[in-house]
Amino acid sequence: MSLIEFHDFSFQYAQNAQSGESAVKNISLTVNEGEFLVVCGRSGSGKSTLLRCMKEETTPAGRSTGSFVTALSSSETAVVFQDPDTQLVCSTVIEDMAFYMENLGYTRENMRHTMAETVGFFGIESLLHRDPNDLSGGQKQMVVLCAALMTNPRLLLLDEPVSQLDPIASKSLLDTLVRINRELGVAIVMTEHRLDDCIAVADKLAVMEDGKILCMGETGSILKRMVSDNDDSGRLFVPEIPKASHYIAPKARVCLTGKELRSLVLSNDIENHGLCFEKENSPKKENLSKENLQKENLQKEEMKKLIKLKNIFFAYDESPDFVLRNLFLNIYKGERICLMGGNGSGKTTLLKLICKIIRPLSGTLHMEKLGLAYMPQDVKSYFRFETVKEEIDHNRGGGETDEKLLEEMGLSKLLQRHPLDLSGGEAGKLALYCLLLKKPRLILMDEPTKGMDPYGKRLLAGYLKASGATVICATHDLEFAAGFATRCVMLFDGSVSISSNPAEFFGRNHYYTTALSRAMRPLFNNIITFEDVKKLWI
Amino acid sequence: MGIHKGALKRHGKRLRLTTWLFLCHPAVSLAYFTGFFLLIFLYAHPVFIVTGFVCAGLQAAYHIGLRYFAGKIKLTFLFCLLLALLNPLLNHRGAHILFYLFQKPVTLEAAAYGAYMMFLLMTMFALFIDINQTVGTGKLLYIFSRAAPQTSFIVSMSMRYSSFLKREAADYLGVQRTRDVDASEGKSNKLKRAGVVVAGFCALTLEKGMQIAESLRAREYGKTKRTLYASYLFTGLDAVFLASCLMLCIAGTVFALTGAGSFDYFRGLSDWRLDLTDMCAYSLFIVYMLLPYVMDAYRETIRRRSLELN
Repeated sequence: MSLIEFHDFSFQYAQNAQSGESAVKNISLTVNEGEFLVVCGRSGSGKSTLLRCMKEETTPAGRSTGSFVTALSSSETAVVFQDPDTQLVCSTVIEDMAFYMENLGYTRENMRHTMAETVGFFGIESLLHRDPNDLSGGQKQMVVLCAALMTNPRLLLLDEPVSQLDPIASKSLLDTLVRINRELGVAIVMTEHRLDDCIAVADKLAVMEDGKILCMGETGSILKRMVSDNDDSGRLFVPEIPKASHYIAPKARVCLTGKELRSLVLSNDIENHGLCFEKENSPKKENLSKENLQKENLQKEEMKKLIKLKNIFFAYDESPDFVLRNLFLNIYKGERICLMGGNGSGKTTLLKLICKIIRPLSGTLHMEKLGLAYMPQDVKSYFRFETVKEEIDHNRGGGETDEKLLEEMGLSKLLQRHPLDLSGGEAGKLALYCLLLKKPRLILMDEPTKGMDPYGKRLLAGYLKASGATVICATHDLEFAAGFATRCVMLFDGSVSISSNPAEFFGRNHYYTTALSRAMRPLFNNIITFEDVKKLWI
Repeated sequence: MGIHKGALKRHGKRLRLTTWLFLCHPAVSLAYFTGFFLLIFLYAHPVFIVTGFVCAGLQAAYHIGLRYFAGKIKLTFLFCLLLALLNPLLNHRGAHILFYLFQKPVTLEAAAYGAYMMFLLMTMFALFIDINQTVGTGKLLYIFSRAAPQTSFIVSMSMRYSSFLKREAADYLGVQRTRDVDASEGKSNKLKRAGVVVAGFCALTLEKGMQIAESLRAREYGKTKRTLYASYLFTGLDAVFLASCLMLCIAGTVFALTGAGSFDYFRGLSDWRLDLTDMCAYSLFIVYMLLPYVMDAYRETIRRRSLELN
């Protein structure tokens, strides 16, 4: 039974009435009862607009053509947006849980009953009387999700719900979504850039480009189609596991999970093809570790030390606990460091310390005087002017703009737009462009890939490498870190717990590692990225 | 190693969450504190006000920990002491002249009134510290949300977002500082830049506001008449406690109207000793202060008895 149906549906924002440009074009789409649909596509391809049009209350101001039919009442469609902070509107979690039911005029008994069972389903009783400001990102998003389910919806719409979460928290949220879908039968439509964890749970996958649906169907077959594409438009979106499985066995069905990939590698067919998957061929973990350490130490001795952090302690005023404690870290010229760790492990705090937004409570920070540029996690807080052009003009000072770069980043057509009206990916590109215009020697970036599509990520990594600057990125994007960093640093309990090159770092980690590394670990220690698969399967 | 001051303050706060005024219905808790305020305003006698201060202080320390309470009241004490010292210097009424300062008389009556004001203010402040922890803004909003649900929701939302926006503003200014590091910049340019940064932050705040509005719309805020989720139960014990408070307050008011506990600081300083009516009013006053402890003792007794039975 279909819950919603779009037939030849187009939508045009009110502000684009003059230009006549539609954000969503000629969409025909059906969402059936209990279905799990993931919508992916480039930044600005119309994913979020389409999602918002699925509920009357969230449809943006504008004009639509074609037909949209829904079998659901308003309260049967729940929406979860990207930023949990703008969705938790009350001063305690329990008030937020009750908020939707209060708006619909539920009786007290009804509210207590629904809340008791829904909160129990999520297992978040301990958070009920907490202030939302005190929750971690993952907890906030879980609370928002729980609050959205209070009206027993039949359709759940999610706009990039895991984009602000660390890999562990994002996995936990996706697991909850699977339970909601499988156990409660709630249909889910979710937009997402990071498909790695979603593909295993989605029934259907839709790919959007330029406001249109390029292809839609069963997840495996769509991924197969995308990965077989000759051009990059679809291939870049394909996560590492199906990509690797297609590379290993081009004629077979693509694998969606690590387990499937392991079975494929171990299957007789592959063995008979004489592919070198023998464990002995891969270097022993210990040897790899020692060799790399020696090599790294030699290299570092030759490199110039830019920043030296010694026994740093830091705590925020409102918190009794130290965010950073006994932190020692040296940063060398030309390094590309990715800072990793769970939410609240101190990555952002460390970046703020280095760019002197905050001061350490104890310890020393020695730093060479150099041009520094910082891109914050909430990239929109980087901007202060009313148009993209003004932002660029301010950053170039008296210098020249790089027209080629502007064009490549797709910013040239956005010059007259307000920076806050840009999508997450576009805003990230603008901030990066502004940073690069200053030609800094040290670039600090907090979650630079957040809300960025794979094209944006590829551009970002390319430009940062080409700039020659020392780069320190705080990121949850493990695949990005594996391909970009020269050193990965993991923060835990306020100090550095692991600091090594990506091969060593991801090779040693069991949970906090790339999807491909997790999948291949029982067979190979040294497969971290798709490039490693290519090297091994000649 | 640097020690973070905020951490010590937080560690000093030990809430006794199982005490009666924390556990009872918020309206009952608020009614008790209102009664406390009423009684300290009704009686001007120094014995009453000193007793009131001691009881309010002990109660606050009992609820939130002595160290936290002392830390909170420290500054107020200095401020009130200053007021007590300034009063005889500015107010020259009274017959008992202690000495002359700058040719102006400093009287015993003015000094005594200053001390009374000091204790009154400190008692009020001790009660406010206690209310802030035991009732808190959340419970206060819950009480008033029945009468004005929309206003209550807006206040609750403002509270949530005031600290959020404060943090956002600090982050925004920090990021903007990293964008401008030109030390040679003139004052007019700095002012202009500050204006642009403030405008930028306003735009960002409006953007967040629009997202909040969108999330409210998605949850159908304002579509129908709102109901209210009841987080607290009004129990029989609440009713008994509320009735006791009410009766003691009425009796206290009646005594006060008959002149009990009154004290005239400026007409020759009344006799500070307590007569029979004063003693009766004082006894009721003490009983009122002790009521929450009585409730705690009662609850503890029945709890232990039930444990023994099981």
